[in-house]
Amino acid sequence: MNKIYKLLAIFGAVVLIATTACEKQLDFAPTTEINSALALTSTEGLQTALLGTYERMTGGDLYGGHIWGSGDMLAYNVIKSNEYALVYEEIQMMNKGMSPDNRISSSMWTNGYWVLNMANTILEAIPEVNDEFIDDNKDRIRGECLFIRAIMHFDMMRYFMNVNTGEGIPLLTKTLTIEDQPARAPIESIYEQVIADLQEAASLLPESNDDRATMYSAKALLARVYFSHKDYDLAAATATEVIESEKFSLVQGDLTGIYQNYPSSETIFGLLTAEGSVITGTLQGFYRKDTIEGTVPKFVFPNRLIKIFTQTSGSSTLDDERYLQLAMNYNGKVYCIKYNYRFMHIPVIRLAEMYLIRAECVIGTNVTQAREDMNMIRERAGLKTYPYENAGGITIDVSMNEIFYERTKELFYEGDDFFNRRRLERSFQDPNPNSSIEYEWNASEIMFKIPQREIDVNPNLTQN
Amino acid sequence: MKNPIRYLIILLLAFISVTAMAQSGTIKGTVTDSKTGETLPGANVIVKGTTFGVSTDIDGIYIIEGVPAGSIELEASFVGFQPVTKTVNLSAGQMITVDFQLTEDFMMLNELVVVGFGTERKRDVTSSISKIPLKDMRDIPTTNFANALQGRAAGVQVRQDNGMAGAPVTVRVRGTTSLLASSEPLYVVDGIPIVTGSLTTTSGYPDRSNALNLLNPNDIESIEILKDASAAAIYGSRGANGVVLITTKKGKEGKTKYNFHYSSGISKVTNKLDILNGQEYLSASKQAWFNSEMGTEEEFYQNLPYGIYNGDLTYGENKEIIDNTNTDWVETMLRTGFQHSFDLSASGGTKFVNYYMGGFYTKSNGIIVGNDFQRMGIKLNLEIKASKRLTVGTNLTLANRQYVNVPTGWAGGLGTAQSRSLPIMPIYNNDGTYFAPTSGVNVMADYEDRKYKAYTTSILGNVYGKYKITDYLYFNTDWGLNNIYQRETKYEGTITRSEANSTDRRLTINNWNTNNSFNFRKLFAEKHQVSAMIGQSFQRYADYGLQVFGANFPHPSLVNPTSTPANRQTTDGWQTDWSFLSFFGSLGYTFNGKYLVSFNIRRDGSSRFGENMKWGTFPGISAGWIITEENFLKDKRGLSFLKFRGSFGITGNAEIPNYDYIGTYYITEYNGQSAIGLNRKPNPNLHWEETSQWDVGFDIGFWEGRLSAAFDYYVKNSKDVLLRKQVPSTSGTTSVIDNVGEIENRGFEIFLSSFNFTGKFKWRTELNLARNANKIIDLEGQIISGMDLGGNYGNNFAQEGHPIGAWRLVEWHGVDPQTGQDLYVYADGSIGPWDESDSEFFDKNSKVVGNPYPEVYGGMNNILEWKSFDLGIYFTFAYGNDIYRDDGKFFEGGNIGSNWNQMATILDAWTEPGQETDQSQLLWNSSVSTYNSTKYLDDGSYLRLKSLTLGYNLPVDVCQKLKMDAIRLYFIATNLWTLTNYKGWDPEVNRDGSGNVTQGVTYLSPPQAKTFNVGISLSF
Repeated sequence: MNKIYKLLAIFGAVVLIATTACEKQLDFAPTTEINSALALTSTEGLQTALLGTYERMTGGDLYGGHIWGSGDMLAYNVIKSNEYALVYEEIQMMNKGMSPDNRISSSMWTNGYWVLNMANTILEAIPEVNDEFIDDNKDRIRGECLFIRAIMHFDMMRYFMNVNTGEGIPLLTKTLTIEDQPARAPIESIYEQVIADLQEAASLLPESNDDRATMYSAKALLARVYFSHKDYDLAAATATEVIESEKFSLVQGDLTGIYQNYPSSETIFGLLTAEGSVITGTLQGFYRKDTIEGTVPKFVFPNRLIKIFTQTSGSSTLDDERYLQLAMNYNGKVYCIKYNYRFMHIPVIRLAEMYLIRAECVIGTNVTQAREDMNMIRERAGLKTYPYENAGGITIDVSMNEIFYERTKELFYEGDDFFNRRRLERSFQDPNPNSSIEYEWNASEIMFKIPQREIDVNPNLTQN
Repeated sequence: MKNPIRYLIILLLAFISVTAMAQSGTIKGTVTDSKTGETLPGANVIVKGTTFGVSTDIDGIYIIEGVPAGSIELEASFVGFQPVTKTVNLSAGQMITVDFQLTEDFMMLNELVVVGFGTERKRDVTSSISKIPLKDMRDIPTTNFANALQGRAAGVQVRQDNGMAGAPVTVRVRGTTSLLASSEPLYVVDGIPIVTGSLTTTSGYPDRSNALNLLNPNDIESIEILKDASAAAIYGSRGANGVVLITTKKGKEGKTKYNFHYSSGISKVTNKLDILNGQEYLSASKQAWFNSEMGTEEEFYQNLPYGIYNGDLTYGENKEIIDNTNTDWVETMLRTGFQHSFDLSASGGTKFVNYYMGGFYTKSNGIIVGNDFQRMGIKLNLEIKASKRLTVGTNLTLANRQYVNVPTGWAGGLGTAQSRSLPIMPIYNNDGTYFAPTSGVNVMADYEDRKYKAYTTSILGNVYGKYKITDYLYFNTDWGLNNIYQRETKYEGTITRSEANSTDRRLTINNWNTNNSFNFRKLFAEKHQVSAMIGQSFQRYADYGLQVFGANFPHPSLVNPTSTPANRQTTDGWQTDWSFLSFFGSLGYTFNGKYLVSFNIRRDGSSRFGENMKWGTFPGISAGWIITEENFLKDKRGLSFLKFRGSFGITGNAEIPNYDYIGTYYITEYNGQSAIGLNRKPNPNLHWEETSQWDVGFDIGFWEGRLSAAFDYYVKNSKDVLLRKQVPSTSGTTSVIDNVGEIENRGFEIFLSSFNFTGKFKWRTELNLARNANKIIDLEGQIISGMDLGGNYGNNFAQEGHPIGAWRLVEWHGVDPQTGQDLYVYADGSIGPWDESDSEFFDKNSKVVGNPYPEVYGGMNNILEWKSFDLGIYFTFAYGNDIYRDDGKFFEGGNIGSNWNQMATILDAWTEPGQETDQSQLLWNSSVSTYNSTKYLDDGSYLRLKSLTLGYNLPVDVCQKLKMDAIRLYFIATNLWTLTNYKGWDPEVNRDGSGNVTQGVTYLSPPQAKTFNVGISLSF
């Protein structure tokens, strides 16, 4: 019997130890993620969260895809390549029949507000951190967060706002809980907040910042915001500040450098996506044609865009460098090849836009300045400078219309044209010759619907 | 006290050497049926506690020679009869005659049923437990556990997701109780809660494997399914979905018995979809082209979006080639499958040791090209009586699996062959290289170019000890492991892409558990049977994964991702930990063998919940009354057994992600630097799902149980259902996991067993039938799409007042004979076409329709025996469920002009006013037909001849001449015949197997397989 008792005694001890040890075994820390309570308690935590916010902005739902691509789908700026099938949501945009369950708009909303929440979370966490690094970094981190908050509010508002009722989108100046049900703020108060955020960001941010938002990024965005708000004097003055800083210069010669190099000499604010192949729902999925790799895009140029390049070049041949270098004519279709690079660089704001903004703002008061600015753009594109004689022997000089076309060509597929035409209150016409469909700049068909899932959980939201 | 090891060695030696004893005698006799007086050939007679034992011959006579003299316990047994034990005195040199009369046992009331942490006699069980004895299925050649389980137990719905080799199995016990958490039952093999869930995250290659996939079905002795809450409460927080207890075979006292099974056969698809060939596709496309006024015929050929039109040839030459191309892509992806499997086992025992050991091998080449499954393993169950009080043992299965898979659905393989590979595309170019469409997929090239393999090793085993403290008090302990190691490799080559890439993924799962309990059972004053149990268990699970992806190999011979340039490699890793600590107890009382009551309780702690919510308590109570034990009903002719029973209990479900209560930030990178982002907001109040269930039922038997039935009615109410609650995105997240809803399942189950004929010609019928009605009671008003709950497609929803997974669809109302447009029923009841200008058309006019879960389902088994032949005819059925053909909307005119082949039904498309048809006018790249409507919702009811078995057992005298105990030859066919109105491939197919909401949806899903097997079983 002895042996049995020994066995039992040993066994009893084992069970006792195991059981008491088990109690502690009911707590595990995540090993491939971070406990949310510990994530933002140091300067390093704030910094990594800030980078994570930039990273989210590069996704296909935001700047890596739909913030730029949706406008071109809505503005009839692209046609189907017929090489890669469009998804339901894209077809809705092409047909201007956006539904509230459209996943492109709901993902933009979801991701946009994720970014806004992160920016606010970091802003609120800054005062809680008091390690040795915080003093050197808190202004910069605050400035970057304000910049991100401004650009995200601004771009989301431009898609979801209702210009007829003046309703914008919920304005987030602090973190909200899951119980908060914010209503849509008026467009004007969003502009106010965006401008205030950018002004403060410009005062906090350094002149250079490891390829992220700088003082000039904030100013350039501010110029764009003033321009969009039709505060043309302020827009011109702010654009001038950026231009005259001489920190940036137009890329000459090989224009693919604007999109391939990070950052290029003319990038004022840019984002860099992670390495990746073509993913549908990103700029690459929309446009990238690579005959060697065999990738096929969803979209190609419509005739209107080819016509603008042809008819405003000033010569009998299509010799615009932007067309020759950034588009590809293949088997009768014209493809955009701005986004053909493995590490995709998204030049969110670049110097050329500052010239275009200033030229338009000052054309009524200082035509020389406008002409000079426009000639910077035309010269770089290999075109004759104003004034010039076109193929028909007519002298062409800088004009509102010329600036409009130059802007269209310079910023094609960079998320500008749709908003620019709405600012100018121009309509959108179906390019199909058999169609007489035309949407006014303020037509509800070209406004994003507020996502149904948001309305379902937040009754204070009104639909467009 | 003797040295137990030495004792063991002596015993083993005694067992090996068959030494004749000097002092011995002979026993002989006849075994007969007590009712008919007929002799029973092939019955077993053994001398208990020794290795002596024989089978009766063709005349029912047995002779055992060389039996040691003394007092001897003899036992005679025969399948389907109650065993009889007799004690006789045998003197040296004597020959005695001992005859046995065995009585047929129809209801098997004394059979033991495994309950949680113990066993009960079937007659004493007061909760709802289905036992699936394996003798009915030992001859079913199945490489999958699902086939063995399907339709066998009332209220247990089993479905293999498709007919691919190694396909996952979905099991629902009494309906779906959860939305977010898993609704799969807990599986416990010999006391070890095994690892379930998907072992892969490689997209396009579904694998929801578990340790069942790594067990040999022939090693299973019985499967018990704990269905009601009082039975499952002993598994507490893990019992809400029912518990499947699997017991593997143990050795029995007697000489070593060898069993050998071999089966081999072929498989084919159950059905084929009627899709268009090249000519039909072209003419339908042209029709659509002209209907949409896209241009001339010449432009049609030039604009075919697939890159078929060759700019170097003339229009006429192109037309000639395109008109004459006709590729049957589906045929290129299908084949006649082949499978074979064998296993060999040895079992036996003495008074002191019993053992069951064996090996198994299965190979199955599926019906879809490239899908191969292979499994091999060894099994050892050993039990040793180490002393009068101590019994120790082990149950061990080591297995290996090799799984070569092909993508399914839209991702490739058969699904692509039906859709994106168009019949007008050639397989090869003129130079013999693969044709590469600019749009669409050459599925042959794609298949050649992608290789996926998973190698899995599983260790499943425990050691246990049983210590007899007194005659009525035992201490039980077991310590088990279920570890899984898996390596997956995926290679994508350069036939269809510019550079090759590969992925190597390693997964290690370490999972151990222990159960320790004191078990008490005593009969007081011959009337009061008291049983009690108190125990503790702990389970600790951890998995670790590491994945390396690499692209751009320097040489085509290389496939390992680590041989790519470092800047083209990415690595990912993950780790999950969870644990459960539990204390439990039960108390049972039986008075006079007729009044039964039992109570059990479990207290569980889980690592998945926050500080204040870690612990939960789960009680269960049940009572029964065996009314036939009462004097007023005793010996009443006809009614031989009647037991009323009822139960109530509370169980839980904690199958949710691990760190939701603390909230987490994920890790990423930006511009080469570390970055983090909010992943989940913390929810410290997260707690269990709680399911309370009551059950009333009865078991009844007539004429000694020749006709017997069991009936159960239950109501199962799940509260605090774990759910991703949708929240405004302005909070930084779209949803949080919270305890939100309430779901009810109520239904009844009927099990009928009838021995229609006994005697020379035997005919037995078993029928089980269950009805379960599922309804969402409360969801805080939310309407949640199946896609938000982790499903893929299908437009299933969860919403109050409707069954889980009911669809939201616009009602389709046929085709307008005047315009050829699809008509729909509007919300106000009027009828008209889809208003494409109204972006809210769907939301305004859709309604909740259908139910992915059947109203009634079950199975019927008929077993006929005559002389040496037996025939098994086994049907399964489901009634009242719907299936949404999510691919239908693209298949039936919707995507013509895009990359989808079409169903032959579109050949009936509307062409002229007045034409009555179900297919609207074909339009080029029209989006109209791709809207979700009831047009694609089919009745999923079916009746299926699940298996047909014909067996031949060689006569006893032939076997004995061959020195065999039994030889059986059989033929079995599965999925032979199906009656259904469902228009897709197969009504028993689902796209997202594991989802709770996205059930009853097909999307290019692979069909089931029809199999034909022949086999042989030897026992000697």
